[in-house]
Amino acid sequence: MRKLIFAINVTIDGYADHTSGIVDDELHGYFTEFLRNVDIEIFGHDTYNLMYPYWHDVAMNQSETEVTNEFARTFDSIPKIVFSTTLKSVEWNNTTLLRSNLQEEIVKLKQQSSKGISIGSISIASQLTQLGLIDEYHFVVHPIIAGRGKRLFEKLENSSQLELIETQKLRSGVVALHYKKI
Amino acid sequence: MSKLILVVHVSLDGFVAGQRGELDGFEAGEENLQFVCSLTEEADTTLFGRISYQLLNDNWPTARNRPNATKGEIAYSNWYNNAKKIVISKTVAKENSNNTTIVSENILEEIIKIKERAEKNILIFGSPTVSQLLMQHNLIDSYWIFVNPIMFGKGIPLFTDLSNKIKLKLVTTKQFSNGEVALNYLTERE
Repeated sequence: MRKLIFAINVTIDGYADHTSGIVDDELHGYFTEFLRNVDIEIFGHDTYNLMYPYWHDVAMNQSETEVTNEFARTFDSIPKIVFSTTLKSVEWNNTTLLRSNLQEEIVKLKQQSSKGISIGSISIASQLTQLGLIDEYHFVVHPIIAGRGKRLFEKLENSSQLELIETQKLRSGVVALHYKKI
Repeated sequence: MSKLILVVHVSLDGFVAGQRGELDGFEAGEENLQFVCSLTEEADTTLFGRISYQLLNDNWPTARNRPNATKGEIAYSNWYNNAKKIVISKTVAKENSNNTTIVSENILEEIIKIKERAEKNILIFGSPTVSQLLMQHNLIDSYWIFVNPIMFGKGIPLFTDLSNKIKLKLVTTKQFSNGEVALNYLTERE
């Protein structure tokens, strides 16, 4: 069985605005480690556009710091699935575009035996949380009160209790909280 | 000068309560309460909005008298009764008993005065509306945010509709056996 894992940067008040965080080498290092345990990345339309071509270009041009370049290479090389009804095509290497049946496809993937499956999209993570399919969560909490913006979860039907596995403090004041489903 | 410290429980997704104000899923527990008592030792004043005041005031004045009261409950109850209590509300009737003062107008000015006068720290428990007002006026010095291992999915947000984001400085973290993680921050002032 593969594990389905959601890793996300959030502010201490629960906003998931990607422009609010403290992005540094240590954070990229954390996510590189995270990606070593993953061999599929799931995106929606918005996350795909956020990540591509930016990270692909960094991977190709090695234009950032060594740690960030390593993150880009790792990220770029992982097979990706994009769920979207509006994207016409996808150009990123190793990327498959799927139109529908999110639940069915995820259940099928989870039955394979391999590394983890990472979800990069908040709306997909919300749907899969609702379905009880996510096994682990990494909430990477930034020392910022955003006070507005896109919330981490907006309309889950039910609350879900988790179990804390470990915490990790980064020098920037970011605290990574790692949980599993009970 | 005393420090104004916000002590608040949040879900992993940043809600202080569920949609109807319910707190199900936040299990404080004795370990947590004893830790809070280490914060109250440094404080002599507590400040709330109306709803948080009513919640706490229904329980804490008499909690120490219950036959099965724990060490933490007795300590907190004692502190609560001795502390100066400031309630920010336009609707709660004036009350002078039990060290309680109601502030209904000139809220910011009053709080600045209280802060100048207090000998020890001032703790705010919960009270998202009041916290937000104080935070926006740069009056909160420090935060103890207890992140509970639960996702509410929807509810009452800790903060909402702010015009500017606020940077904090992480001081320390504390992990509890029930999976709660308390994060302690200072407001970064330039």
